[in-house]
Parts: sequence; structure tokens; C-alpha cells
Amino acid sequence: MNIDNDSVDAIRELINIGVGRAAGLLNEMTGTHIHLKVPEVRILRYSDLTRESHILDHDHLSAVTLRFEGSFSGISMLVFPPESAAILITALTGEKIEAPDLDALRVETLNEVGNIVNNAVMGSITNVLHERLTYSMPTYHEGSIGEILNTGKGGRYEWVILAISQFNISDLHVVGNILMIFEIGSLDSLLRKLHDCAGSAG
Amino acid sequence: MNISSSPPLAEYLDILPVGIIVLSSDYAVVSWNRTISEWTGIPAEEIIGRDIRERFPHLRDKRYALRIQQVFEGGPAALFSTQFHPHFIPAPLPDGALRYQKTSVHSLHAGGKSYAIFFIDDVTELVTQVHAFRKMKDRAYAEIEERKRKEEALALANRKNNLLSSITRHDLLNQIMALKFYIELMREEKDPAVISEILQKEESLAGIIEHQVNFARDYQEMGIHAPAWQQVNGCIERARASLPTKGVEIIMDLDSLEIYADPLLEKVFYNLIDNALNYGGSNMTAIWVSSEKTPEGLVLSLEDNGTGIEAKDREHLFTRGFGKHTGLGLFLIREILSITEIGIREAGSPGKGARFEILVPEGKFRYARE
Amino acid sequence: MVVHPGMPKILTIDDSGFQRKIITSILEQEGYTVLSAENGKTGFSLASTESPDLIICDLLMPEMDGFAFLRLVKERNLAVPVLILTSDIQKTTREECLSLGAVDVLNKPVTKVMLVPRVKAVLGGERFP
Repeated sequence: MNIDNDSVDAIRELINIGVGRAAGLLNEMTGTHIHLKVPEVRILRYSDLTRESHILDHDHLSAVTLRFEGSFSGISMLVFPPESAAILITALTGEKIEAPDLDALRVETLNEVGNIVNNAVMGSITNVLHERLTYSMPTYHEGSIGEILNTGKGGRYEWVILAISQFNISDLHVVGNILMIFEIGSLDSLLRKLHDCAGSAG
Repeated sequence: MNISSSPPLAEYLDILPVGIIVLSSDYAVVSWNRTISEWTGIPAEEIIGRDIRERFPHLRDKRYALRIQQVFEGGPAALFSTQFHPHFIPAPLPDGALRYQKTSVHSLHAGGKSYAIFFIDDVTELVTQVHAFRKMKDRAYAEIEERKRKEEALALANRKNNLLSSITRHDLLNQIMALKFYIELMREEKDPAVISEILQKEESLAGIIEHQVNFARDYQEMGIHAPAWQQVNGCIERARASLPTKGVEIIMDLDSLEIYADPLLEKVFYNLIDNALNYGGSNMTAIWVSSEKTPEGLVLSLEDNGTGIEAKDREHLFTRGFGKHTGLGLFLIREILSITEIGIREAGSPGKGARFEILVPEGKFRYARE
Repeated sequence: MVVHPGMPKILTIDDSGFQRKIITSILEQEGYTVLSAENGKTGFSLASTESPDLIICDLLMPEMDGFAFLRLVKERNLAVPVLILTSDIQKTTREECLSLGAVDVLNKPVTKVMLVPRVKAVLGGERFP
């Protein structure tokens, strides 16, 4: 399979656009400016995921996941280390809490933030490719990355796009990880479409 | 196609205890179930076919429009949390307050057209519970903090009580030893004039013992003593009165200086002067007490012209057990002072006399006249 | 690089090759001469030597980002209008760019329909508040 620099570049741009749109929406909703940084994008094998990313090497991650199906299939997810999640939510809601934790309402709020980011990233990709996919209900999970991913059909996953996106919200440094996990054959499908698209740019 | 006119679906939508709205891609209301109708007081006939934004203009905001548009285009469901969108379709309760809602918007395709279906859940009960739980948690934390503070105060009090016991025993033993010495002297003395002098000294010592026992009792009786502002002049005067100064002058240049310290401050000066008298040597004639302002606060110095402290001793000066008597002196002094963050160090030169510098931080000293 | 003598020269600065390709393609179709650079630093040197008529610049770039680039342009009095093209759609970001001297702020994804009229307007001397 051809994962060249151009492909990674294209994917990074699409994720960039998605994150930018999500930041815009969150900014609109909360009045807080969100300072974005260039995301780091890597394409890895699913089997290498837990090994390659130390950010995901945590027992208590918070993740909002969205499954998609169509000409390419997989899961999109926004993952935070747990302290990050609680800090992010209370920063966005303007609550001043010393040691925030995630109760039912905050989990719901995190679900919405994940929903905004996932949808914006998926939207960015499907727009450019003029693709229509079907989606599952977004869900919230907690646990290690293995536990979060195992709530799906583990054996069918091949490639992962890992985008590490950093956002600073009023001096709070929150690092969100956007993962797109592709079922076997799906990433090829996506990359092929990107190539075709870039060819007829504009 | 008019969804609301297909009986089975409309019946289901009406039964569900969730607000359900279906919009066509031009925001016209295609279905408006019984629950949402009851909540808003808007009957279906009044709103079906009309643009929902006429009644609920906030849905024109970017924060809704962009996300709902994506749903119309066949995108993934959009979730609107209670925190950020508490009243998605404002619905008053009997008491006038608005229901708290949790909303999700899903893409629907029928007859070649795009629709969006809104599920609006009433989560008022959940919100009330979560808020109550948060309050309870905050209260619990506050209680824990309060308890911690009490424990710390208690630990501090214990520490001070232990200090006091050691000091008092130490001092009392000293005084009692001196008293016994005089009693022995008196036994062998025949000259009434000398006996009279010795009696005076014994009386004085008895007075000191009494004072110390009272001090200890008062201190303990008053429970946990907070640090207080104390005039240094007064402390030193009292120390001078209790000690055999034997011709050594104590010269003070302090004005009305007051220090915020544990009430045992008196003991500090007592011990410092006692040490000077004991170790200064026969050539010592004076002890100077003065103060100087520094960027960090104030340095209060007790300097004598005795023999000074040898270099080899300086290292161990403040350690427990050091010294020619029981050695509790300087160690305790440092402990007492540390209760209000006051430090102490020795800065004299061997042969030229001892110089103790008490380092008082900002906020812990003042002049009474100010 | 396709050169059209007499046609305005446009410099596009973006760390994404994908993005540069799209912008270049759109603008060259309209007959403009297009130069490109990967970040603010190389973009500025290119701007100084080639004197483009318009600069289209990204915000999030390594080495020197769009904000720093705008500041540099102002500092060195480079008299070239700068159009910011960014994925960050926050109003606060837009305000900051405009206050730093950008002539306008456009949002990605970029399309012919949205980019070309703006480019024509800026080259024609218009400014957008």
C-alpha cells in the first residue's frame, strides 16, 4: 500500500480543517478562545498502536467514539487522558474547580465535545471526497486504549491514523488525540480517493 | 411524503415520553409529537409546515445551524449536551422553571428526501441529582479540610506542650540545683549578714520557680496558644530579672519593637542570655541587643564580648544534645522561633564574642508606636 | 512554475503540500503566476526577492507561523497585501489576524468560488473590514 508523504500531508490538512471547524464551534458556544497547534499525524499499524504512542499509554483514558461505514469503514475517536478531560470540560463551562472529576453531566458534555470534533473531522474528509457514509451513535468510554478499542470488532482493524492535536484554552494545556482506525482495506480505499481528488484539485 | 400522516410511526412517536421533532431540510416541521406539544403548549396543527426557527430563532445561531446542516447532508448524529444547551426547545414546568434537556439530532432519509429527527430528553431530575451530589461532595471536601486544619493545630499544640515540658523541667532543675546549693551554704554559714544574703537569693530562686510553674500552668490551661505580638524589651527585662547577671550589662537598643511569636519567646531570650552568662567567660562585660532592617525583614542581634564560640562547635550549636549542660537550649530556641517562621543563626568570631542573629520575616515584626 | 508575463504574481505560503497544490492549481487556471513556500521564513525571503502582488498565507506552520509572518511583514514594511487562509474559524482568530494587518481572512477548505473573487478584489485594491 502506498502511504507516501503526500498522503500523510493531505490527511493532516483534512484533520486540520476538521479541528479548526470544531474549535470555531466550541469558541462560539463557550466564548473561550482555543489556541490550536499544528497536529502531528502518523499512520501506524493497528497492532503497533499501544506500543508507539506514549500518550495513549494510560489506564484511564476518556474517549468519545464514532463508527462509520461505507466505501471505507472504521472508528473515529477523540481520546484524552482523564485529568485532561475533566480540566477541558470545566474550562469550557467556565467552572472553577480545583480537582474536577467527571460526573454524569460532565461526561455528557465531553460526549458533545467529542461529537463536535469527530463530526468536524469526518465532515472534512467526506466533503473533500464527496462521500456518503453511515454512522453509529457516538458513545463515551473510559479505560485503557485496549479496553476502549476492544468494545469493537478487534480482529478487523488494520491501519490507524493517529493525529495528536494540542489545544490551549486560557493557559490550560490540553492534549487531545484524534484516532481514526480503519478496517482492513479501508485506508487503501481512502488514500486512493484522496489521490484522485488531489489530481483534480479545486 | 408527509411522515406524520403514516399512522404507525406517528402513534409510536406520540407514545414515547421523549420530545420528537422531524424537520425537512428547509427547517419546516414535518412531525411534532404529543410530548413536545405538551411541553411547549404548541399543538401540532399550529406548527406543522412552518419553519421551526420562526418560533425558536436561536436555532439560526451558527452553533446549531452548522451542525444541523451537516445532519441534513447525511452526516453523523449531532449531540447537544445539557450543560451547553440546557433548554434546546424551551419547555416550562408547572412552577415556571424550564425543563433541562439533552438533545440528539439524527439524519433520516425517506422518499428520496433528507430529514432531521430531533430527540429531546427531559433530564431535569438527573440535573437536580447531580447538582445535589456536587454540593454534597463540596461539603465533604470542606469538612475534610476543616478536620485537617484542626489536626494540624492539635499537632502543633502537642509539639508546643512537649517543648514546654522539656523547657520547664530543664529550667526548674537548674533553679532547684541553685536553691540546693544555697541551702547547703546556709547550713554551714554562721554569719547572720551572709545568711541574710543567702536567704534573699533563696527567696528569689523560689520566686523564679513559682513563676515558671505558673507560666507552665497558665500556658497549658489556656489550651492551644496562638502566637502573639510581644514586646522584646519586656521579654529581655524579665529574663534579666530571673538570671544572675553578675555585673554583665545588658544594653538594649530596640525602641518599641514587637515580634509575632509563640508566647515562649520569653524563654528564647532567657536561654540566650543564660548561655551568654554561662559560656561567655569571666572577661565578658556586656550583651548588646539591637535590630536592623533588611530586604527580607528584620535581624535582631544579641551580641556579647565574651570568648565567642569555637569553630568546631558552631556546626553542632543548634543540634539536640549539644552543650555543657543538658544542651536543650539552642535546639529548643530554634524550635520555638520556627513556629512563626523566625530563624536564628550564630555569626560571631571565635575570641571576639558570640553574636546570635534572629531573622524575623516581613509581617512578623512591628513597632508599637506605629 | 508557470509564468504568465504581465499577470500578477501571487505567493502562497502553507506547510501542507496538499494545500499548496490546490491553491496553485486554482490560481494558475485563472492565469496568475504562482510561487510557493513552506513556512513564514522561506516565504518572507521569497517575498523580498520576488516582489509578489499578493501573499496568501496559512496560520499554523512550523518555524514561523502566520501571526509571526504578519508581524514581520509589518516590521519590515513589506508593501504586499497578505490574505490569511486558515482552518481556524474562530472569530477571535480572525480579529487577531486583521489587527496584525491581514487584508482578509478566509477559511479552509478553499474553493475556486470562494478564493478567486477575493483575490481579484484585493489585487484590484479593495480592502475588507
